[in-house]
Amino acid sequence: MVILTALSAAGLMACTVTLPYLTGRVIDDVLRGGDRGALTSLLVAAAVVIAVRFTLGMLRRLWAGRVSLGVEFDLRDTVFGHASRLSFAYFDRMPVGQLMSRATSDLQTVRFFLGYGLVFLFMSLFTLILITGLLLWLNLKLALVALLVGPALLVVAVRYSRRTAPVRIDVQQKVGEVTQAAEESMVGIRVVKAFGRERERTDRFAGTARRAFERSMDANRLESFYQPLMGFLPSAGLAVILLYGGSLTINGELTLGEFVQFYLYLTLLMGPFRSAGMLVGQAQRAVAGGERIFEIVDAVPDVREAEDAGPLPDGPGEVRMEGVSFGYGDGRPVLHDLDLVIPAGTTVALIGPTGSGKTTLTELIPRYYDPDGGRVLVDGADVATLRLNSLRRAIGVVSQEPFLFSTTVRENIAYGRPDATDDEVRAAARLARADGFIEALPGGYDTVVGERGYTLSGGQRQRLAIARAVITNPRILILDEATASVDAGTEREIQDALRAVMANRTTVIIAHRLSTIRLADELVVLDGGRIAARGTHAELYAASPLYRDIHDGGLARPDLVLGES
Amino acid sequence: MSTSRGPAAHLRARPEDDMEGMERPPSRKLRKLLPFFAPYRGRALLTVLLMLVVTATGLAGPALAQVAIDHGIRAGDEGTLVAAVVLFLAAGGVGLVAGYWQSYLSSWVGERVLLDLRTALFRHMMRLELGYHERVPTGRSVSRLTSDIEALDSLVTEGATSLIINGLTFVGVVAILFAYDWQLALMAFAIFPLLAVGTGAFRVTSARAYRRTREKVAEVMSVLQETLSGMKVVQGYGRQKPAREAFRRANDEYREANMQTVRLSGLYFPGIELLSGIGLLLILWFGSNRVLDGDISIGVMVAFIGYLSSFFDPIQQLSQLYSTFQSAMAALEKVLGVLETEPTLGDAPDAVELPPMRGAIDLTGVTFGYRPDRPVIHDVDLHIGAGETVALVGATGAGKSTLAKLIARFYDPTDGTVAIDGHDLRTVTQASLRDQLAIVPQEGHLFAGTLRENLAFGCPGDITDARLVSALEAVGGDELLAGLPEGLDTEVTERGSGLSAGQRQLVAFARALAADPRLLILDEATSSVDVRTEQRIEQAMEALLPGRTAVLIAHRLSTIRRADRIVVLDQGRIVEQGSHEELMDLGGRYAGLYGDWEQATTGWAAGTA
Repeated sequence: MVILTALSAAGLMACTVTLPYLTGRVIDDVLRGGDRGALTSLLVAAAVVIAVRFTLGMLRRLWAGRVSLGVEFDLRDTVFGHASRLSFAYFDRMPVGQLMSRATSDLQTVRFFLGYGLVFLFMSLFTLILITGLLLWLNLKLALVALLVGPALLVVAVRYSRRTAPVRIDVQQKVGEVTQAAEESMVGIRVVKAFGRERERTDRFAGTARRAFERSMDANRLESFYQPLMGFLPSAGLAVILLYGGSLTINGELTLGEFVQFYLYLTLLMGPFRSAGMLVGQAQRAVAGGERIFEIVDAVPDVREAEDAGPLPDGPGEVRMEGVSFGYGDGRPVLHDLDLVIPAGTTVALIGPTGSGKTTLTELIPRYYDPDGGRVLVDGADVATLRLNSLRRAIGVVSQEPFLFSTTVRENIAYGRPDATDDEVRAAARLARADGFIEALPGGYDTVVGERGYTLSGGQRQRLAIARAVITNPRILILDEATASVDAGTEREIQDALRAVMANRTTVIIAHRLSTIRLADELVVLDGGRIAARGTHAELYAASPLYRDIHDGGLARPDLVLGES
Repeated sequence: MSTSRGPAAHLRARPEDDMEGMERPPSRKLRKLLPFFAPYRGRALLTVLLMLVVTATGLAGPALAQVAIDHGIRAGDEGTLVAAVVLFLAAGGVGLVAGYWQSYLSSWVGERVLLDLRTALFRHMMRLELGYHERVPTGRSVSRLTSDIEALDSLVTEGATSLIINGLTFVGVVAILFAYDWQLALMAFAIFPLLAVGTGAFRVTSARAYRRTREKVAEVMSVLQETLSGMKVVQGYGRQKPAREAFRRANDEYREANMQTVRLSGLYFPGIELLSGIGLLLILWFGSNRVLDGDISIGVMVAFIGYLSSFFDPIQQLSQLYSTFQSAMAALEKVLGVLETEPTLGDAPDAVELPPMRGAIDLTGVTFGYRPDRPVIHDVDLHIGAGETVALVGATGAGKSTLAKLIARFYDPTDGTVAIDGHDLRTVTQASLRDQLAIVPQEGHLFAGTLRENLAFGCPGDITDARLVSALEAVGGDELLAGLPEGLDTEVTERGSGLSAGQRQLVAFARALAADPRLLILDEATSSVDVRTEQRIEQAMEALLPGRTAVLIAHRLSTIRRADRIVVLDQGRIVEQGSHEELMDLGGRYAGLYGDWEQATTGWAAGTA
């Protein structure tokens, strides 16, 4: 396809070049030679060339379009495919907006260059070579004079792109600041209104917008200087040819037909010359965009499956941590040489101050991150030796603010088991005590939820996520309790749901509520990445001052409101 | 205020406001833009004049070449040849200088107008009442200010120039060719009707194809956005493959839609070339015969061929402009839509300054609904004495936040009056009201800038650092300040600043205290807090409440008990009010809530409160 595109482009240029030749022949043979009979055959030849040019032009555009869209498709597909293999640490670092802009606007600059710019560049180069050859063949002296313009244009074009590129980047930066300023004021509109600071905000925004305007004018000034200049240089060349070629013709060294041909060829060169600057700019943008895309594609997932990774062996769901240390790579260790065994089928509540490593500890079990030292074992198998999907399918995770997809409630619940029957979906919802509110939704299980659908409350989202986790019947359940305030009645409902889903499974709960720790078989108190104490409530209350402190002051109680239900 | 968007906000306005196709005619919209050009009409006029010069010098080239060929080269007259070439160069030089100024000025005027439009749009958005911002998602307002203005940018700066220069070139070419030889000109323009019909058809079909492409690319974006946001869930459930297939489908549909635009332009642009080729054939055939008959010179025929491309280029350029024009018009419609939304809460023409407040609030027969047919507050009468602290208590949707918003006049009641110190709020200026009240929202929103700027946000005049620091200390923020390396000069941006939610909340408390309002409205955060945080909040209240009227939207018992009076709301009505003890004695709703709570918090273990 690429070769076809190139061939059709070459043929196209040949056609375009043939027409001035035929025109020159008409002038010399027919008009000056007086051979009226030759006119018809020359015109027929021209008609054929024009028809061929039309056909090739269509094919060229079609093929080039298909290639460039194909490249865009493949690149985007590759970026997506690669992104879905990258580990959690990567998404912690890279904001979604950044990834989005790389997969869209950066990708388009690459596509524009590959699809149109490159074909254009090729056509321009081909035209340049072909016409230069023809000019040299027609008249060596005249051609050498004419081609003097070339190097001058090249110098100007390179200077132009060198000077504008940094300014353009800065303009993009300033435009980004405008977006940020707009977003900030809109998000904080309540505060602005509450303090009546509308005018001050407007002045600030106007200042930001003005700076973007000024920088943009810097870029425009450069463009206004270079673009007319790049249009003028070829015209100047044309003037020289008119003068020099004209006197050659007067002296009889050139026929009028040859001169006209020469002149018309030269006008064909104007296009490629003029677009040289634009192409250089486009190429620069494409290279910058490409770099940003390949940053994603070249990123190596931190968590990789071993070559000989095997499936998770059957087992009751025992979790064991041996000498586990972990940090997020910023030099601050989060977990220190931690040993912990969670017997199969039991429920362990993790408690501890913010930043004590509770969430991190749970994220090592499904191998969202790899520990820096030590190992994590599930049913006796080191998680680093297992196939990721096999391990993760056996573990249900309910995060504090669960993410729901913009689709129906049913599909969200069945996410980990798309083949689940309606009855199974309902049973999972019942187990999570989510059936009541789901049935009250306008479309029941067919209600679309998520970012582009019906807005659920935090507690409802979490119960939906619990249903999603239990439908796969995981042997291990990890649950990060929501901190949203609920009233006493709702709290009771949640406790019922937890009790139901915890039965016959190993469960790790990050507890924020007083009522939740009552459900656990054992409590593990974390402090600064170490296990400070573990045991039952009675044991810990007697032995651990930290636990006593958290229990009396650090756990939430229900609020005195009729919260969400 | 509460972040909930009023009842049923999620049920309406769900489809993105794609108003393409149901808009007013472009000329009416563009007329609305004219006032923005008015201040710069001198420059705009100069730009148009320069465009005339640029076009004229561009058109002079082939004409001068014709003179050089006919009267110089063919006549063997070197003097004429030199003169023609000098003029040719001079025209180029004038074009160069005029081109610089034209290009600079037209981009200046265009971007300047858009700067003014953007600022006007922002100012207007700031004037629009809170209700508007609660209805319209933030993202939509931001894209009005950014991507829509940028869509107009390409029209106003490049589009207008291209339109005028190409239009002038077209007209100029037609005039010159007719001046040379009207018969040959007629022959060359014989293809014009075909060209017009073809261009018209292309315009219509390509507009449809481009719109489809835009829709499909939006779909790719939303699938991408959602999958990337939910990547942890995708990976957690091992659903990478189906997710990629779904993405591939969207990606492929986009490619197909885009291929249609490629097909259309693959037909149109070579079609234009075909027509220009036919024009060339006609000129060669008919022109040759006329040259041989002695009616025209060879130079004229060469000039005709030279001008032929100047005739087709503008048409191609203008038809490319059409899609730019369309998206700019769609953007303009949205921008005008905002500008034409009248603020419903403007100051009355005869509004007076609210004198320094004592702070007595009276709600008389107040009824209100976000939609008039669905009231959420029913006929409420409430008197809050100057200096009194009142806690509003009730379930989600009982109307606590709404009542507070009515007191701050973010909304006007549908029926009844809200008055402060006997002044109906509709009769006073909003600025004089807002200067005397402060609101602590559920989530402490900080603006980009220093801690000092954020603390002083509510103080209209200058305020000393000492007062800001003492405000921060009074609400228990001394530790926060001590932990910041640059003190008040620390940049506290909205995200990634290192300030935790709790610290932001403290800044919001201090901000309110620094403003020293006569009336304080406090919306307590609903996320559960542990006892330590609760203690900190209590310290802040201790500093904030004395000496002013306060309305608390309260969730926590500690906050509620701090109030002089508790007002229990249910479905937009006041059902009980009184002190904690009075309400407990009453044994009604409040006592019931309290009983539930007590049961849930006490019981199983020793040492529990």
